[in-house]
Amino acid sequence: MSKEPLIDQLDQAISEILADPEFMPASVDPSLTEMLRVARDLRDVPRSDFKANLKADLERKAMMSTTATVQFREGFRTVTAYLLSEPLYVDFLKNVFGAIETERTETGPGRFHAEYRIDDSMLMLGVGSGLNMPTSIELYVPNVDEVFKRALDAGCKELMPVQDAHWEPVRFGCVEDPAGNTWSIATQLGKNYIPEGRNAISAGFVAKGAAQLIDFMKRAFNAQEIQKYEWPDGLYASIRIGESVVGVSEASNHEWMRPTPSMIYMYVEDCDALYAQALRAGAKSISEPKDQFYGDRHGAVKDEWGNQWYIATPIKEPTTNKIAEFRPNFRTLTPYLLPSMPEYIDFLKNVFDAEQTFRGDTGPGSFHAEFKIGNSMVMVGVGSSRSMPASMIIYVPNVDETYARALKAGAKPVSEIVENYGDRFGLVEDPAGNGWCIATYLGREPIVAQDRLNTITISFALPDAARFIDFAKRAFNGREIVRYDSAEGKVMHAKIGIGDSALGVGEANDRWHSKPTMIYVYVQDCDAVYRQALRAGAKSILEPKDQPYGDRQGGLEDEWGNQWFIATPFRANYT
Amino acid sequence: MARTDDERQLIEAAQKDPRRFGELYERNFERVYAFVVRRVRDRHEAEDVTAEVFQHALANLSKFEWRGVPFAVWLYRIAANAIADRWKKLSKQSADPICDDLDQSHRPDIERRAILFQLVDNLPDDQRSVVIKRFVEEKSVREIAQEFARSEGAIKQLQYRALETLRALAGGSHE
Repeated sequence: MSKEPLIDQLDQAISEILADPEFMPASVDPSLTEMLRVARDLRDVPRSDFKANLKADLERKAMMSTTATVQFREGFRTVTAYLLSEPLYVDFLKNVFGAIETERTETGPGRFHAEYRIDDSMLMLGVGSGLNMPTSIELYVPNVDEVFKRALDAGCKELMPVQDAHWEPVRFGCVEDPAGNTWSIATQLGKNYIPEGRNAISAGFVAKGAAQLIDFMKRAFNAQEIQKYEWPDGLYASIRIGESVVGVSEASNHEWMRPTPSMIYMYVEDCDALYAQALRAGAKSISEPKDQFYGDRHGAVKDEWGNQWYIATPIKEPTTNKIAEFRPNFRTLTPYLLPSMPEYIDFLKNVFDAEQTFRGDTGPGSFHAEFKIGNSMVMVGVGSSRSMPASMIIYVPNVDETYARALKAGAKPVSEIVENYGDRFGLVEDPAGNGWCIATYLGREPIVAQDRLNTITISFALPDAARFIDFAKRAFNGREIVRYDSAEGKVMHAKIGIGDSALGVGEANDRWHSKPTMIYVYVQDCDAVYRQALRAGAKSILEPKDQPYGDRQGGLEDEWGNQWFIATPFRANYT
Repeated sequence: MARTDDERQLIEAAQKDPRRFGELYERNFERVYAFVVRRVRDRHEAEDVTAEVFQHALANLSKFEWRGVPFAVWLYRIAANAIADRWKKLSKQSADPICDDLDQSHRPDIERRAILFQLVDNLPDDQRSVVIKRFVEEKSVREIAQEFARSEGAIKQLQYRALETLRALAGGSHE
C-alpha cells in the first residue's frame, strides 16, 4: 500500500481515471476506494451553465408556444369581473381587500381603466364613466371576520352577518360596498381558505331563472356545472367557464339576493368564434369583435338577464417569430456600448470570454460589433463621438476569477466582492466607463427570476425610479419581478421583466448616479412598440424604417436621457 | 405515492401552461443527462441529445398521457430514440441498440448518478469550483492552483474534501 498522503494518492488516482476511465487503482488506501467510485462518475457531471442555458432556452420556447392570453395578460384567467366606479373606490379596494394596482390606462378626461390583483385573482375597474352597474362578487379570504369588519369600517352596508354555512365547512357574510356591489366574503374552514378548484375571486350572478342562465352559459361559453345546491325556490351552482369558476344564484326577496346584472371581461383563444357562438345561444350584440388600441381584440354581447360579456383575445404576435429566425442569439434587451477606443473589445474578450459574432465597418475608423457573452449579447459601436456608459449585472461562474481578470485588464474597482442577496458580487468600472456588477449566484435557492437566468442584465440608477418603472410598464409592457421600496416610497431595488430580459432599477443617490444608457430592444413589431412608447411619454429620435443591416428600427429617448432602439429583424444577414 | 401525485399535477400544470415545464425540467435534468452521457461519445454530444430530449418533450407534452409511470421513463424513451437516430445517421449500427437500456434494472444506476450530479451543485463554492475544473474541464491540480492563486496542496485538500462529502452524501445510494 502506498505511504503517500491520502490527498496525493487520491489526486494521482483521479489523474489516471481521467486519462483512462477503465483504470482500477490497485494500491490505494482502502478508505479511498469509495471516493474513486464517485470520481469515476464525476467525469460525467454536466456543466452547470449548460443546465441553466438549456432551461432559459426551454423557457423561451415555452413562452413562445403559450397562447398570447397567457403571455400578455399575466395573472388573468378566463373570466374577470369588471366593476364601474368613482375614483375613491380604488382606495376602498386597496384598504379593505389589499388590492394591488397592476395596470392603469387613461381613457379620457377623469376616466381610466385599471386592473387590480387580489390574492390570486384579478379585477378590472372602469372609473369615471358615469355608468353604474353594481355586480356580485364572491371572495375567499384567510379570515372572513377580519375582512368583514374592515369592509364595514370602510362604509359597507351589512347584508348578512358572518356565520357558518350549514351545507359546507365555510364561514361567510355579505356586504354591499359604497359603489353598490355585493360581496359575499367567505373563508373555507380547514387547511385551505379557498376551496379546491376555486380562486380568491369569482364573479357572481344573481338572476331570476338561474337554471336558464346556466343553460345559456353552457351553450354560449361551453360552461360546465361543477356543483349545484337546490332548495324550494332557490338554487346556487358553481359553474366552470374556461379556467374560471363563477357562482350563479337564483334571485330572491333577500336584499343580498336581488338580481345583479354583471359586466364580465373574458379572455379566450378566439374571441370571434365565441362571440358568434354567444349570439347563436341567444345573446344580443353590443359590439362586433375588433382590434382595440390597448392590445386586445374584443366583441361584446348582452344576455337576456342583462349581463354584459366582453369577449377578448389579446392580439397575437405575428405567426413567425422573426427574432428567433433572424437574430437567434438575441434577447429582448441588449446593452449598446460606445467605447472610444477599438481595444475595448479585447477587454470584453479577455475578461468575459466574449465571442464576437459580427463586425461591420460603419465609417472610417468606426465599426459596429456584436458579442455573445454566456446566453446574452452585447452590441458595441466603436468610434462614435458620443459616450453613454451603461451599468450591467453579469453572472459568471466564478466572480473572484472574473473580478481579478477585470482589474488586470484595466477596470477600476468600485466595490469589493461581498456576499448578499444570494449572490457573491463585486463592482468595477471598465476602461470605457461602463459599470459591471460581476456576480456569481450562490445556488442556495431556486433560480426563479429572469435576471438570474440571463448572463447580462442592464441596470439603472435614476431619479424618481418609481416613475421610470411606470414608464417601462407602459412603454414596453414591463412587469415587476421584484420590488423593494424604502419607507419614504423610493425604489430601493427592483427587477422589471421586459420580454425575456430584465432591467435592474433603483433610485439614484450620492453613490449611484443616473447614467443615460443606450439599449437595443428586439420585438416582433417595432412600429407598434415604438408607438406605445411614444404614448408612454418617450420622444422620437428616429422614426421606424428599414435599415441596410436587416433590422427595421426606430429610436426613442425617455425623459431620463436613455435611448431605446426598437428593432424587428426582417433578414438574417447583414449587408 | 405523494411524489407520484405531485408529478402528475406538475405534468398537468405544464400541459395547460407550458411555462410550468421548468419544474419538470429541474426534477429530471440530471436523470436525463445521466442516462444520455454514458451512451454517447462525448460531453458535446451528451449536451446535444439532452437538449433535444427536453425540446421534444416540451413540444409533445400535450401528447403525454399519465399512466402512473414516472415522467422520467418517457424522457428516457425519447432519449433512447434520439440516440438511436444519431447512430443510424452515422451508420454505426442499424438496429435499435439501446432498447435494453430502458430495462428497469438500469434505473438505480441512473438515479444514483443523477443524485450525485445534484449534490455537486450543493457543494461549498470552492469545492464545487475545484470539482468542475478537475472533472468537467479536466484541468490538472497545478493548473487549477495557478488559476485560483492557491497552493497545489490546498487544491488537493479541497478536492479530497469535495469527494469525501459526495461519498458521504451519496453514500447509501452508491453501493
